[in-house]
Amino acid sequence: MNHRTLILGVMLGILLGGMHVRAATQRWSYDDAPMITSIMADGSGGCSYVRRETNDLPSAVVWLDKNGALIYRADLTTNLPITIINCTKKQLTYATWQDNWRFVQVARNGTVTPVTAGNNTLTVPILVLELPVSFTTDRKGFFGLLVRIPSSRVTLVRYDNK
Amino acid sequence: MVMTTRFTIYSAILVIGGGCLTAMALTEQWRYVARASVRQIAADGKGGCAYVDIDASNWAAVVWLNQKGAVQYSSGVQTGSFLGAIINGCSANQLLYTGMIGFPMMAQVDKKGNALPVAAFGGYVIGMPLMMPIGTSLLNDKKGFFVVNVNTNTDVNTVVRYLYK
Repeated sequence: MNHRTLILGVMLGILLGGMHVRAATQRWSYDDAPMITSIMADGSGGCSYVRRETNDLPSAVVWLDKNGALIYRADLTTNLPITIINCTKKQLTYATWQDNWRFVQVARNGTVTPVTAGNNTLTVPILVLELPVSFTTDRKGFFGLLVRIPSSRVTLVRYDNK
Repeated sequence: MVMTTRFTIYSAILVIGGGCLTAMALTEQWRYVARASVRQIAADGKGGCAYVDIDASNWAAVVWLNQKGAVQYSSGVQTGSFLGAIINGCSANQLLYTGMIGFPMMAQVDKKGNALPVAAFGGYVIGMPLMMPIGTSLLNDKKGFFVVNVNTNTDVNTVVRYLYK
């Protein structure tokens, strides 16, 4: 059964791979992760995403530009949900728990600025307690996940609409 | 004189009141009876939408309706898997969804209703992480929004398009 699934999967990959020129155009790809749990398009061809190891630790936030080049990566030590609040080509804002609520904004040059809170208060996005949501499209294209056969490892792929 | 002033005040109240009522009222633009329970709606930003329905057998279908409520694309019932389907994006020009025809597969549909697979070598492509919540809905656009009307006697689901006014 596993062999049959593998063979069918490979055939499918080859078949669809051969057909891909008729549809969307692959622009670039990035990573070979055990798991990607959230993708946030920046609206300009880049994106940020959350990756996790198979044991759920450690996890990381990764921010890529429109060419698929790394802008920022933060390796965290939490297995709690990491929520990407917002991602544009100029900044990334995300929240997670690491010793305390950590809610930060990252500039394009990688400078991290914590979002501070007054005494006895927390600044927490309401989504932080929820599982992450993905926004995968922009005006010119979209992001998909290539699930590799047979390893099941995941690669982020950028496609142009045509 | 008193009569004229009173008439003017009443007229002003009527105009203001009528104006407010008009601004607050919603107008149903069209409706489309779905095959089964609707579990995701994605507005295309121009008055149309795509939706995913799932029936009692857990078979899913993806339907794309244009701004007049006419079918622009229908995937047909996907009986290969109980995992359903997920809309990844919808605009006036294209629909992106991940179907589960026995295996996950991302599809790109143009506005003529032609569906093509999105693919890469080495495996299969899906449109988003398969983490909950998957298939989040986008219900509104600049001029209106979409809701599902459920008949509580028959469980028939109907996608309804409303204009804000």
